[in-house]
Amino acid sequence: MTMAGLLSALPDMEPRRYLYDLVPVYPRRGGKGLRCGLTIATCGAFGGTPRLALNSAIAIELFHNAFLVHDDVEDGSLTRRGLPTLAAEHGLAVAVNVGDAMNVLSIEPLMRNLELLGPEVTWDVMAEIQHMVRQSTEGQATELGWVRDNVLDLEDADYLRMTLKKTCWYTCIHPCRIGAVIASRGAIDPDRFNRFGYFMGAAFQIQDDVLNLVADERRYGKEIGGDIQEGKRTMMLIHLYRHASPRERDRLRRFLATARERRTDRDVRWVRALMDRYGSLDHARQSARSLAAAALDEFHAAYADAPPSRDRRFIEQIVHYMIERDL
Amino acid sequence: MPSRKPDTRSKRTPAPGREKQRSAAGIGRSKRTAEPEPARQAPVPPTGDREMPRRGFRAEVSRSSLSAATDAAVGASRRAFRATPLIVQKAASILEEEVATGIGAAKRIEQRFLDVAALRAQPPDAVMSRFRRDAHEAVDIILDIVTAAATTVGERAGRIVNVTAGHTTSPRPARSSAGPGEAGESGLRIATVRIPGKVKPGAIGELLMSLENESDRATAEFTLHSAELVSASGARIPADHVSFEPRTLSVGPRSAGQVTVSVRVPAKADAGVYEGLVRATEMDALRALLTIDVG
Repeated sequence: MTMAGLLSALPDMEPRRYLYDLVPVYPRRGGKGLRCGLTIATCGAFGGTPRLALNSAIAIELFHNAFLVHDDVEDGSLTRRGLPTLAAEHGLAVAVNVGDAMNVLSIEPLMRNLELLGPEVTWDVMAEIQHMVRQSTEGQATELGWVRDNVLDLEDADYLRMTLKKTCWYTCIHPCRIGAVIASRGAIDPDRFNRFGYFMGAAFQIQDDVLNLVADERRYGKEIGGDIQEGKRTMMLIHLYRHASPRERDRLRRFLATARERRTDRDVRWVRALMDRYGSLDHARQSARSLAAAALDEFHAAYADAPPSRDRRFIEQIVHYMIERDL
Repeated sequence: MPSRKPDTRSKRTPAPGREKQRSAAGIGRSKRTAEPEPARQAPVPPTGDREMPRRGFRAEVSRSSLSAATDAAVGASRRAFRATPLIVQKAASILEEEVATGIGAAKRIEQRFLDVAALRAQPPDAVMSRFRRDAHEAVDIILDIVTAAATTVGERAGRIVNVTAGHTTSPRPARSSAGPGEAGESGLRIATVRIPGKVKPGAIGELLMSLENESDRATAEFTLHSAELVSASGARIPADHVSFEPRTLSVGPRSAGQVTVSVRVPAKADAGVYEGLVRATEMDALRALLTIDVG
């Protein structure tokens, strides 16, 4: 539903080839749909209809895809969801401009909220979106800075803060907040979803980082995770650096100071093996499990007054899936 | 750090269960709850009280009951907290900090303008037409709305001074968060803080001034002082009739400090609007025009 609404909201006009034909490229590649799902389901859980939350869900999805386009440029990524990134296929300049357009286009559904939700709730949703986008860019800046300056002396708390800002606000917390604000016309205090969304988002992110290593290994037998190749500051890498010997730390630092395209598979495998030796993956798995369990507790608190419904069950199932996910 | 202002959202009708709910996991909501301070001993009453059996007995019963309840609550909280994985404790603390700085800042903006709800309640068409004018200027439009709100409730807005050194929040300083005050030619913003209403000669006018620090660093400790207040006709209220409580303070990052400004109007003061410049040590950029209407 969100996808159909999103595609129908896009301009059908020139310049198509360099802009509007490219805007739906990422959304059409599909994704988990977690953000729009949480927005619409939370709205439904508190008595709203999907139609009320649809504009906001579309806006969040457009913002998300704009982030992805720019993220690929910033990370120098070549593929996204199994296909070439916009930057790889159409060049950096075009890709950056498409991302800019998606950011602006995401404002339009929020404008349409005015007729549907009235000025007060529209304002509230705008304020939520403003906070969401700002937090995401601050989190992204933090991570980019770590990579650029080869910052390695990090702790779990640094990772958790970065993840909160870069991922959790816009992936989990704000979708829930916005859905509830819309359903209740601003009567529900959206702060009640902060912990639930944060714990769920952080657990998801850590699990994804673990799967990036483990799934690759299972699938290809020899290929090692791209996150190591990218130098991404995952919880595992941070744990490893904290526990490695001085000599290993020194080599790790040199490896990460090397330009990404010059990092060898051999070194990547070495980092991966070191993570096993120091229990870095187990640490991340355990952290994800703890956060997922805490998310379930917080779910029951945040949705305590939401009557049983398909939407409420849907959200609860997401948390259960996360807890039972095979890592 | 100064306490946060109340949430204007509380004006809304609370929904069932709106009250913040305690985590089922028993996780501390903040560092303070996470690491509860040891229960403090109730102050020992003066000897005279102890010599009065009834009062002393009551006091002892009350204290011991309170102490037991507090100990039990603190103990339960500690046990629950210890049972919570460290990673979740860390996450909870980080969230509290971020919420306090991020959303708290956004809420402070709203709290400047008590009539913002009325503004929001304008006919949707009017606001919509503004939105539609140009999507690229959405942020500016929001600023316009905020500015309009500031004008509408100028008295409220005229209690806020930004203490961020050398700070300008907008390329158009006239839209600054310092309320209806304007930027001088030097680029420094001069906020206007107004004592509400008219103050009679011989009376004391007061207002609660908010000193906002938008930066992520705490300010140095500074002391406020005022020049004499002068009316258009040249009448004066001496500087020592203006006082600040507290006079010396610092403001934490992304937070606001509250200072009560009192103007003791001389009994023989002429009617009129008096103005004088408020400045602060360690704060070259801080200037506020204190205004009082005597009559």
